[in-house]
Amino acid sequence: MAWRDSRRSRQRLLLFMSAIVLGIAALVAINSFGDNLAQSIDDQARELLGADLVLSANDSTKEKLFYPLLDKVAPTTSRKLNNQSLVVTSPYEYTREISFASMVSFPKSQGVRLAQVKHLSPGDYGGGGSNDYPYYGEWQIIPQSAEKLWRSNLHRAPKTNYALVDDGLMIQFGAKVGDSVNVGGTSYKIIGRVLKTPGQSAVTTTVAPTVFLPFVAEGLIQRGSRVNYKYYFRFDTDRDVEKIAKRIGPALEKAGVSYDTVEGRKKQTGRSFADLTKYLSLVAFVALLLGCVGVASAVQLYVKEKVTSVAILRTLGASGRQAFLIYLLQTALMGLIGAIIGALLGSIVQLVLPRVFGNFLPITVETALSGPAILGGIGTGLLISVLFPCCPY
Amino acid sequence: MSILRVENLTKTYSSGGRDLTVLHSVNFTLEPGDTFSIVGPSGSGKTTLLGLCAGLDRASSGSVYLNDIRLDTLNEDQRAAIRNQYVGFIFQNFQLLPTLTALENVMVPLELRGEKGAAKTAQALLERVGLGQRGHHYPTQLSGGEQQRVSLARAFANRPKLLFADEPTGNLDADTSSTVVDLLFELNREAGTTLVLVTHDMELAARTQRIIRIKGGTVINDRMTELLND
Repeated sequence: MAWRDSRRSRQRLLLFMSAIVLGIAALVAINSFGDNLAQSIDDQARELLGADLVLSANDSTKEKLFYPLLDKVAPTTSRKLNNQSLVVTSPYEYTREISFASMVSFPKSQGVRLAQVKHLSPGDYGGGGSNDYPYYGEWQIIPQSAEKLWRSNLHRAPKTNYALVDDGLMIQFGAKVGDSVNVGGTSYKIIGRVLKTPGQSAVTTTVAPTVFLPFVAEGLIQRGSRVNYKYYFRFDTDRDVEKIAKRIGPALEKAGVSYDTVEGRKKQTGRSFADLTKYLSLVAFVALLLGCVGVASAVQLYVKEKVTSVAILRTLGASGRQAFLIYLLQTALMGLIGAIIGALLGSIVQLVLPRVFGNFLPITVETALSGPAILGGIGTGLLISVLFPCCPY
Repeated sequence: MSILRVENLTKTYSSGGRDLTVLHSVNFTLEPGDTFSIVGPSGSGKTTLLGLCAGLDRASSGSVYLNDIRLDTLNEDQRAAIRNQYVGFIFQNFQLLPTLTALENVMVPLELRGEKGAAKTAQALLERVGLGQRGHHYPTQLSGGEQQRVSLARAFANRPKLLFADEPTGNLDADTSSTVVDLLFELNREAGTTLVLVTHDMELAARTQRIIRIKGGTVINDRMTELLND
């Protein structure tokens, strides 16, 4: 009877349903996005860091402190080959990154701007030095061949003046591949534009665009220069990096060296974006709350129109419970349909959200249907469609 | 055993600190199969009396026994169950559910008591009132006379022992009224139902076995119709 009775009132109930649809769509979209974001952070944690372990210091002399510490927990091994030559095997390889802020200029447009200058090189100590960072994840560079060319020149002597420049920076100054960029007194030829590097979002590179140099020209770093040294380590797969970091961590911190591991970065990034998701969930909740007010108003109006019908039903012998259930079932059913449509809509919207937030995210969010978000949304929709109409006014 | 017994029934409404008594100590008893009219001018308390007899309202004092069940001791839901079991209604404004078709309207009393085969019974009743082909029509798609015939079919759907009809022809023209009234008495006779009719129409009232006349909430006359006719 509930279904039959709703037949001629469904257009009116659509108003009530639309309030639920929008509220639930927002909730499902945000929660699905949050779930996908958490999952993507989990899946791409290594790409976020680009290495297993990162040590940071603001003094190049700290470098020599690392290796005795690392040797204790992950010693290099050596063995004689054919009783003659000694083969030393290191359980890790690493890249040193020197970064500092410097003014860069583009002669063609005569533009000048403060940028982050970075240089990769093998370290001065230890056995596993390389400059293959990132060990996990990839640089997105146009043209693709530029990265290979740039890296090959890191080893070449004398070093050629090739530079990779952040895409945003090049757009800002209208620079093209083949133009030159001046850093200090040295001019470098731009061989590629950097779209993305592991762990960096488009927004962070806008604030501090990067210029990758093959070498740091003399005089660029002087006494008093603020330089940051980062050491990216990749360990053999059988090594427990978290355990290693835990063991050497206190000594590193004492020496003024900070460290970051995959797990640590995962937690840190997860925490930052959990805050974002919480904020968005709050926004969705407010949308839902407004939807609830819409639901309550629409149903109140609907029920007022049904007072005569309820009176007829009561006259014909319907119990209070029967009369109540007839209209509760109608609203619950419409609420359920609204919640399902809202969940579908939310699932579609969440496919777009990574594009909207893409520039703010250091990872690529893989979109997938989130079961808990969809079920939670449908449950919430059903609940509000039953509870809010019951509010006395 | 009487089907309806009314003892010292009084109804008083309080409004603005003043009491208004619309029924004063009404007494009567109806036996199964009786046909009975309540007549009187507008505002005399006819519909109030009918509502109290059907358990739609509570009396201020006095008692109503329906099929020997004392209504004033029952709660709303218990009285609703009694109505569903023993009572049928016909109203001046038909009071069909506008969202249901004619067939579904007739099915309502049967569905409320959980009877199976409600559609079949309802269809048979619609055919009995000459609307077998109109079952899928909504009330707004039916004329006044047709709506009242659907209402008649609904009233008899649960095979009531007692049928309350409140001005059943009040909204109908003379020709349609005649058809509906004939059908009402026919169905009543077939089912052996006790009929309580509230009307202004003395001609209609004269078709019942007994008439009580109410004025100002007091029964001023209670006579068998034959005597009145004489």
